[in-house]
Amino acid sequence: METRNIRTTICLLTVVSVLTTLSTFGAATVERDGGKYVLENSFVSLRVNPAKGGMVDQYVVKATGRQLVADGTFMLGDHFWQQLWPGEFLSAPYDAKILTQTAEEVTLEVSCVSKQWQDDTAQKDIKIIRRMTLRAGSPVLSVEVTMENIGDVGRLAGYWNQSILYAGGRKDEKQLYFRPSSRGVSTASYDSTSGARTADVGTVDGFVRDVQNGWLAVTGAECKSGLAFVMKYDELMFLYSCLGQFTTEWQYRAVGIPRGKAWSTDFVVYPIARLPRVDYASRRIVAGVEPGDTDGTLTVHLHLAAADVELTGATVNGEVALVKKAKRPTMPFEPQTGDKITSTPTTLTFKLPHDPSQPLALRFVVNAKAGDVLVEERFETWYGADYGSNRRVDNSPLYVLPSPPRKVTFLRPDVIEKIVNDKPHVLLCKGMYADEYLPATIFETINAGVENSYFQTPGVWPARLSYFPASYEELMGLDVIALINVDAVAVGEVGEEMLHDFVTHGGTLIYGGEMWAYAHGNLGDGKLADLLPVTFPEARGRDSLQYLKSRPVEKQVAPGRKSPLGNAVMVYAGDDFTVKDGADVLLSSGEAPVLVSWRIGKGRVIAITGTALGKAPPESMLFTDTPEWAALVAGILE
Amino acid sequence: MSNNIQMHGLVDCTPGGKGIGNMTSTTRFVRTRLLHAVFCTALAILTTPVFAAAVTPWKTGVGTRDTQNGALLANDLIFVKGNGQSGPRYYPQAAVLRWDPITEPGRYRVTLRARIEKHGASTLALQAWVDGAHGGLQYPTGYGVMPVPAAVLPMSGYNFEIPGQWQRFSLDFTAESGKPMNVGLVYVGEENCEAGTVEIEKASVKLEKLDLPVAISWIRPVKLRYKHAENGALEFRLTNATGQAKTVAVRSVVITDTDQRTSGTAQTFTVPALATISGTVPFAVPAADGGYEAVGELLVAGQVIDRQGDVFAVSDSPFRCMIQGNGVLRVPYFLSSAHALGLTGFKEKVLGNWDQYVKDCTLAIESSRRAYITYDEYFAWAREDATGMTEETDEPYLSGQTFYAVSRKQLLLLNGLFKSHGIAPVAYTNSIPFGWPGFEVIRQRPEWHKSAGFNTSVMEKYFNGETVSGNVYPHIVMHFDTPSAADGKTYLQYHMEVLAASSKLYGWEAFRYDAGPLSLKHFPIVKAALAALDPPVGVGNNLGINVLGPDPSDDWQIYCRDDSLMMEESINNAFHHETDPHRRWEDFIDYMRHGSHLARSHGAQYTYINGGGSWYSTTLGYAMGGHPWSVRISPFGNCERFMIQYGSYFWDLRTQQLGNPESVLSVVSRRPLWWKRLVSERIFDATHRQVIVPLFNPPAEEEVIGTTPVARADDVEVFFKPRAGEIVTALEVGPEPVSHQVQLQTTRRDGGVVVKLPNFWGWTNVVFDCREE
Repeated sequence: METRNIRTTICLLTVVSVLTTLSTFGAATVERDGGKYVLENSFVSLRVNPAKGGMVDQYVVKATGRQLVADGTFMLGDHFWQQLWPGEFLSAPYDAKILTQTAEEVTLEVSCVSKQWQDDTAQKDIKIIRRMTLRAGSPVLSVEVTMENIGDVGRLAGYWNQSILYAGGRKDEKQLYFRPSSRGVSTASYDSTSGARTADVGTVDGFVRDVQNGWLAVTGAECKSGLAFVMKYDELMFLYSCLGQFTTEWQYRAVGIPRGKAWSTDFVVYPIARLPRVDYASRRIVAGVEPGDTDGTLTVHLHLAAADVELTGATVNGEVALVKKAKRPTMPFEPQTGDKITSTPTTLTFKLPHDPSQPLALRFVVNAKAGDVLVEERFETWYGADYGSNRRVDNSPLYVLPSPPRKVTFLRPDVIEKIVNDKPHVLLCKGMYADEYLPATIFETINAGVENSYFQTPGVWPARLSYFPASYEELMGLDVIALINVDAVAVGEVGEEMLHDFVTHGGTLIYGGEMWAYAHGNLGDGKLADLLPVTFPEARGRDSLQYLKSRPVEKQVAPGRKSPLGNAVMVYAGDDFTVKDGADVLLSSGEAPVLVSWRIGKGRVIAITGTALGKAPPESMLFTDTPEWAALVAGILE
Repeated sequence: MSNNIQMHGLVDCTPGGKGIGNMTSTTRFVRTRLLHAVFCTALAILTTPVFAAAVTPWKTGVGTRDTQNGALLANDLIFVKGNGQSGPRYYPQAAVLRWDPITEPGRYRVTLRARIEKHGASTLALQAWVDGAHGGLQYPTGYGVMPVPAAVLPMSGYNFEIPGQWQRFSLDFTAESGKPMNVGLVYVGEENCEAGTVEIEKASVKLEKLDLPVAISWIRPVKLRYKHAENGALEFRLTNATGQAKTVAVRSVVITDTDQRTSGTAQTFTVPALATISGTVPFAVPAADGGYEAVGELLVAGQVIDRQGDVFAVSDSPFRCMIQGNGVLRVPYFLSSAHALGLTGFKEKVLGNWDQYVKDCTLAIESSRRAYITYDEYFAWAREDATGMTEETDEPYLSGQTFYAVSRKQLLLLNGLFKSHGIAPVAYTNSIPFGWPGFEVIRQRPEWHKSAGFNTSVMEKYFNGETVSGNVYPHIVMHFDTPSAADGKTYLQYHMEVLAASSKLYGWEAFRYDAGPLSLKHFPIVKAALAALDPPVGVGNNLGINVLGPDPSDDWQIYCRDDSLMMEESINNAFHHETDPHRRWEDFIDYMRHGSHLARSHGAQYTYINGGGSWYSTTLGYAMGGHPWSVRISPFGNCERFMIQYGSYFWDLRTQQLGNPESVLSVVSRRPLWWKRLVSERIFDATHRQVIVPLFNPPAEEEVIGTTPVARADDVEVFFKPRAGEIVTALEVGPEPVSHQVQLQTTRRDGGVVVKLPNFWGWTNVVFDCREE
């Protein structure tokens, strides 16, 4: 009986709560408008056009009556960044269906299946599903994006969302873009009346590549109103504003999606108002920080607004960290309180004595209640004062703002099986000097079929390879994968996981290089580093090179016995390698290992730790140029 | 009343020296007034072709018709299809009327009276030329073969004083032995003519042989630009019109832009009967940098019977009189135009067809010379722009940044040809490798490597000899001061050695750094090293306001001082982007003026990318002391020839921006002119200065894409208030319709002087020469 009463009470309370919400704010609705759908509540109204990319072609903020989608353009456009712009979805017809339609909540789902873009089939058969939910009593639009592989083979794709907005509802108003970077909030602006564009240091091309947190915001400079987007930080890669084109965009890292599997993420969009700037946005609050120095006193105005429901009983603690000083000492602010935080910003003021030559990290902790739920939000931002922007002379950041932990999704097939080939299939991932380390004679000797993949250093997009298996079907059809001077970023976290599976299931990995490999190739402590039979110290630039002039390279023929490898020499030794237990040093040059191998699972990893750098004296040859080298490597592969 | 324009060839035999305020017979540029009644009488009696001096008859061309009962010829100047290849730029000449070829050697004069419906652009010209079959120069353009005139008088719709009014035109030229000379009124341009129909008074059409036993039939300085240590020479041809051999003398006269004359020693030549001979006479290259005219005087028994010449410049610096561009023809299969060939095609078309290639290049560079081009920079020509700038063989290679097929043999040919004309060959360079061979440099000396950007797919194609398009080049950021363990050498040393070896092999006159500039620390080191080479080599930058900022600074000083070249590239955006902040002429002029001022006031010459520009942006640049990077030809006069001769008024670094010009100058004209931001002051010493007032007649459009002339600038008066105690004389110096410098009458008013200017269409200048009493 008691349980039943409790249930009844909960149900009644829920009904009362819902009715209260609905009576206060009105219901959420979704209606068809010709071929389009209109989602609406008392805060916002948005119109979705399935016929054209499933995109939002109208977004009205009811409090102001402003429509924010730029003339004839769109909001929430889907892309795969591998397809570059415009990609296949911009004008593609989407399917649409209403998933939920209650007074409290409406959800519209739009979806489209990739048919491939131009000649590239790498994302074919991935179904993009975007579900947009609007609730009564909240201005927040919740968006869930899923990439589902409905094809027969695995795929690799990076999601990219793009909106083109007049943040204050007017084209002729200067636009301000706020993007969290590891150096602080990166601010950019665009004024279409003069054509003037500004972007602070490090974002000259409109990108923020050192993303510090999962949000970005855009406002009109005069009305100080606009939109905030808050997304998961996990696979978030770049934030971008194409100045001059009014865009607000972000991209996620590529994810491998085996057949039948799906990857999902979500983000929210909500209107913001009366904020002179934005330094933090979450699903609960949005904040702007305005510091200034006068007569030895630092004054910080903190503008806080609720993103969703109002917050009550707020307490704000804060501190400054003197980031240029050793151990970065901190000084606390006097805590401030606020009874209520609503969508209209509340401004709290903090003061401390301050020498303006000292740059600061400004840190805040907001504790409040959202209904009965306790909420805690932590954020910090950079204030350079007279020091200026967050950089040292060499342009590296003086202080790196902390980021939330990432939770990267890796989708593995249920069954992994190595394919047996008649003759070896080799994927040669060619970074710089790859042909020096692995001359073609090696693969001719073992009668291998070789497919080349080419390495490209970062430009607009991260470092990448022209080809790397997107699926386990392709991966397990290979026998040898060679990575020579290929930055680990190009392999990616997904690729590293796949390589691990490749080796443990019987594949052979050859890894080598110098300027773009090991410590200089962003090889951290991930799966690829685990695979290697050597460890190495952190990158030390040219200091890691040791000039040997022409030290002979020798074979390890028996324990404690070495013999020359022809007239092979090594001129420069690279990183200071340590050979892992269980690994075999096959070649060395003095103390420096040149070729190290070991077995992992059913497979093998060969690390070329010698370098092909320098110029050998006339009477000798760089070890990589000798026929003995090619024969040795071929022998190992056979 | 009608006007008379007489000229002796603008192309081969340009007008002679012009005394200030004294248009002597050497000018052969005369305006006279004739009574309108003369025309009326003549109109009544002339209805058939004229056989003047029994030379040769004339015929009408396609589209020319009789009007006014046969008294007039009319031509609508609409190109008649089928008369040559179609195309937007050049056509084979379509004659309005032409004479049968003249075979008897000697000096001739053709005259006619014409009128036109309205002012406007056209490329109508009275000209004389020799057919290709008889050795005449021809330009094989993509739109047909263009005969190159031996003498030409433009009769553009802007050369007519008043629409509807008859105007006399006269052209002198010399027929050489064995080269039958064509002469005619020809239309060499576009399908549409803004000037409407041209009418010619039949009675006025006249071709006569002049009584000149021996004539200078062609002459010019051997080089367009001389260095001080070089020996000057005039090359010429003399034609004997008589049946007896003639012994004559030729002497050179070098005339400064202030009409100071230095004569050389006369040398004698014997010209066989009815023959043409070639010869040269030396002249002393003037000691001062500047623009000059070299005139050859032909003497018989001590009397000057003919006088012809052309302009040249003097400077050891390739930047001071720099005019970057090309003539009617571009060098074939060179750099970008060889890209499509690839290495295989290059071997076939260039190296495998070498004799013809030499001829084609010779002709193309001749066309540059005739366009008064003094500077030719080879963009991304090397295997590698910082570390690979020499070749050991003539085997063609792909340039590292651009995949152009190039050969050492080709570069040596072109550099030799350019230098033979006094055109400076300049090497594009960068301080860091932008080409694939740079990776071999850092492989051998890895200590120099700092960071790099590349795509190995493109690299593999490069080393396989395959061409790739687009921005596909790599970059390698280097440590300049780190010694390599291999030999103790720093990258900076290595780079300078590469430059020195390259200039020794190819004879570059300068290296110009582009997107990979030298640092403030390294630039002076490299500059000093290049200056110490024999011969010295100049250095330029691609650093303008957009890089160094809008204010004077140490950076500006270090990069500029001692005759660097500073390039402003971003200004070119104004022509291409509607939202560019310099899109309006007013802003464009302000920006260019400031950029030029920053460069020049810190000791450098100023150049700006003018690829999207017009004749306005070209000549505005000249007036501000700049050097447009690619010239656009004015429809009103030969501004490049003008700048070679009179460029010192603008390019001399003693000429600097005059602040607050409105405090001492005012300009009154029927329509507003551009002048306020353009005024400069050239200070010679404490007692002598010149105030230079460029005057531009603005186009109809507010934005820089517009060049539509509105009306001629008439009734222009310039008031100048000198300092107390200064005596002022005034000159008009301008390129329209031909380069000229004439003294202006000054009138005292309000404590200053007022000058009235002749009418002009585009650009002219007033120079107030001020000397303390």
